[in-house]
Amino acid sequence: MTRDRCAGYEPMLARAADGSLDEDGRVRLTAHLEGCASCRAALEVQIAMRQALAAIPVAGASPGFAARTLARIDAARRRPAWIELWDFRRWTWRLAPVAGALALCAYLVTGPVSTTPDDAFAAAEPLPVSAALWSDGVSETDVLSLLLLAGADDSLAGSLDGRLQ
Amino acid sequence: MGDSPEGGTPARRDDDRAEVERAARGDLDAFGVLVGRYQHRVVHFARSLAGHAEAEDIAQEAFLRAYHGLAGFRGASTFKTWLYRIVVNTARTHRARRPAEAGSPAGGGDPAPLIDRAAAPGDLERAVIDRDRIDRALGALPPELREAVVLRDVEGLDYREIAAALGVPLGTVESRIFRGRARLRQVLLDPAPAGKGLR
Repeated sequence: MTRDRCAGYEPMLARAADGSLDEDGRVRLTAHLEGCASCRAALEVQIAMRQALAAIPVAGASPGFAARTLARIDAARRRPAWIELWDFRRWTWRLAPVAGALALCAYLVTGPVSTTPDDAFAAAEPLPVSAALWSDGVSETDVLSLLLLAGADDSLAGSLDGRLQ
Repeated sequence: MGDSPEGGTPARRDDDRAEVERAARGDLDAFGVLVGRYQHRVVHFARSLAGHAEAEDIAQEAFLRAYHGLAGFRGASTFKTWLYRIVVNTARTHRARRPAEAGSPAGGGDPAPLIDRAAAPGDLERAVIDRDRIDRALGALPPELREAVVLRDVEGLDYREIAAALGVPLGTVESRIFRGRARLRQVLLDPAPAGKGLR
């Protein structure tokens, strides 16, 4: 069977094999088969496989299958509604849009949190000079300035501001 | 191509309508009638799709899904077609869960070699051997071809019902049935994996 010539006849061949081809299709296919050996062979394959499958005996459900199935359905019906909540898979994914909306609201309300060093330093409580001498945030130059210019009880912030102005 | 000659009236009568309506209102006995009516076909179909070991699990889960889904069943198709669709989807879910090496519905491995008909001991044994051979060959088909062929040639659904059950167009059903039967023949003739296909 060549792709170009006979591909359009495949549905008809399938239906012809199981007796579901209508009259128009039968006429067209018959005319085609008269001149196409490969489609005749394909039809034989379709018929043979159809017959082989149709002849398979039905090996059905084991004894008690229906009763077991109904018992399982009944048990599920009798399960208290609150137990359904413990099956978190049923509902947690439905809360994802809610969680996303809450996160967005929180972001819009609080705004972005800045972590720049200058802001952090400005927000810090001014240190007493004596504590500032041991602080990691104070450079050696500033310490020297403090020792020369500031009193022991002055805050560092005030001292540095005064020094810088 | 036209409608299938068998029962091809557009408004298909659903013989299960009465039981379906009662079951949808919570009547478990009515649903039990439906289970009794379809259990063998459903298990048989599930076996064709997924193998002996999982057939009853799949069938039972399909009935469960059907019961819980009855409220949403609008009757656009017959209950039988709708049930088969559930079985197909359930089998696909099971197939997606299990490891790839679990193999074919007949238990994995290569299809059994051809049996010399002259050596077949008797009708019963021949039937068993042929059934096993065909099961293994079906297992070697791609799932979409296997579903279409089994629904038509084993379960006896018409083309429209199969299209509804699989959720594909009519032309796709016809193509899959044609290719599925052709591939099945290839596999039966050559037990080695048929990689090339018909064309």
